[in-house]
Amino acid sequence: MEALVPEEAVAIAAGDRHSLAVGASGRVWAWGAGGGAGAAPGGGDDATWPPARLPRLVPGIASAESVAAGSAHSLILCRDDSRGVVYSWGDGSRGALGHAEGAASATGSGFLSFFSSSSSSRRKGDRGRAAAERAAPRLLRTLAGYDVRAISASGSRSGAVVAEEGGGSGSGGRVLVWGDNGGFRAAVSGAGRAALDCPAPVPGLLPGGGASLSAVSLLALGRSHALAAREGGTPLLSWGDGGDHGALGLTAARPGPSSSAAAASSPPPSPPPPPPTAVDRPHRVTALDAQGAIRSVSAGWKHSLACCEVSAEGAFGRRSGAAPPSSSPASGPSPPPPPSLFSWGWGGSQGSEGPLDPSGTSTGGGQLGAGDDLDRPRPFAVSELALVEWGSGGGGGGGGGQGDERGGRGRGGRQGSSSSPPCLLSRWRALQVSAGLNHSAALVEVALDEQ
Amino acid sequence: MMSSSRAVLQLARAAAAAALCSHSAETKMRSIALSAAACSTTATTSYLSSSSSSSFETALAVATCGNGDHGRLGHGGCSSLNRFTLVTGGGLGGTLTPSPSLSFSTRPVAVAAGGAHTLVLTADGAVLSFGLNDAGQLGHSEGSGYVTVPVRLLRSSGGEKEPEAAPIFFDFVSPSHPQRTF
Repeated sequence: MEALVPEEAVAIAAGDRHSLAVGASGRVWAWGAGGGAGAAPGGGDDATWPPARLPRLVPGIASAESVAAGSAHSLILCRDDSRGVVYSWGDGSRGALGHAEGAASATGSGFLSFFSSSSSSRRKGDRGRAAAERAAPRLLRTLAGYDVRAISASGSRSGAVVAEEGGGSGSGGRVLVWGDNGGFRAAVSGAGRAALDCPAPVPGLLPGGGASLSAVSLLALGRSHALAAREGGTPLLSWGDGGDHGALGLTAARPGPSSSAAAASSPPPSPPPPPPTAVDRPHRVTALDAQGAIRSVSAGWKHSLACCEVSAEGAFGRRSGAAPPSSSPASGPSPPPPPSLFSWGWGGSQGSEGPLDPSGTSTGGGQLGAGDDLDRPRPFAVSELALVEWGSGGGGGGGGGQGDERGGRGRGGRQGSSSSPPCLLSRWRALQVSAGLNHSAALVEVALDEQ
Repeated sequence: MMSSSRAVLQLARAAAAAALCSHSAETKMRSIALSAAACSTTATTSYLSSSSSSSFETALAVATCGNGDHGRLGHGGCSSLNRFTLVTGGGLGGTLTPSPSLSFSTRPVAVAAGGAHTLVLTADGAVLSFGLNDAGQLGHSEGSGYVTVPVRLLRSSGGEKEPEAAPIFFDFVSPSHPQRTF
């Protein structure tokens, strides 16, 4: 059994409790939860599908380009004879695998079970099927005829950006989703179905559904909402159930293209309608229309992140001598660079609802990066990038930076910068974003010098 | 707002404070500050496809914010942070040297946030992880606890197969002693 891999990784994905990496060879390595992933943290299903604590080779994959990880299932985008194809494995109980085999009753979850398939395959019924679904990644024949360009997964849901096969690199833009549709508010064809066991198109992202929607290349599924955009372009599209926290980023109720469905759910005509908490087809996130081209998007549990293109001059060009019009170029306050990072949705405040995680343990804590934990239903331009003294966060992980599982909580989202105020950088830009369950990560480029 | 040079120094201090080895933290702090201040090598903006004629001394880094339970933010603790904050441990602080050749080995190129853990992909093909490890999702140890600083788990090409034994690494790169840790 191979453990660690002497291979360069070229792509990564993080699920609820498991992780994936694509190697330079096109193989895929996986580690983490094999059972009980996601829905019941700390649940006992790890005993059924033992976790893999070190990276292991995923069988049968040799031409992977990217990976996507949901709560308890995984997707791989492979390049097969210049056509993008998708493989899936893991928990298919909600149709997230997309093999059109129905959505079975809930069974134990897990994604790495092929490591223990010899024992689990002896089980009967759902167990046997569950074992088969985990035995190895299987090709999605339900995507035959499509050239898959991108994949995304979250919760028990999957999605892909596809083009007609042979359509050339310029085509594309069709978004298909499958899996658990609960909370998605019928954002796909076949309204009302709680789960889709095979890929179905998202209305409005079909060819001809609108000129601006015809070339989507970025797709980010969240737990209950989704984002899509054309990389390097605008607009950003948002749909699904954003909840009361405003994860959709829509600032005004705007029924989509006229249809019976839209008419049925049209808001009352009274003045300023509140932002819709759920829409059944993609809407423009108009607050970002005036920003730079969309570079990266990510949807988390109840919050969203977007990264917009900002030139190097815009982000870093404010050092001395680079701004002749400025009267005091040395140290005077300069206007902030154009924003490159936007966040909206749940800010982490628990409000009166208490911990939102069913387990009661995983709370929020400022995942919008806005300097507080308030909700923001409209995209917030993140301008401040902070530096804090290492370890000032305190908490249970101090000292060696390691701890046992029980000690790893920061006491209800208390901020760690209270003792020493953070230093704030202004000359930076974001290049890529990723929204986790209730935290955020960004790849940023920072200026080093002031000269 | 503060000057960036001070920011670099702060980073150096942060990184030095993180050093748990027996070497002098002050020495490391000085070497990082010097490397950032004295070396005027240009820009690492080549990562961007839309390269411009102008060049700036920049570095790629990882910033995190939000819920900090189980160290998923990678800042050496478990507290939450409501501002995007640079991750400086685990070699990522090494990207703050201005020389591309030196910073390359720890240059992040992608991030992925999971349920309670975070992954970082570097330009040389390594993966770093931090956060909760109850199901082994960090991939670098048998421990079921959590890790609050980035730890590298996949070796770059030609590396050994044995996993790193120590759970914490810090990467300090100086021009006079270029080193590739890990």
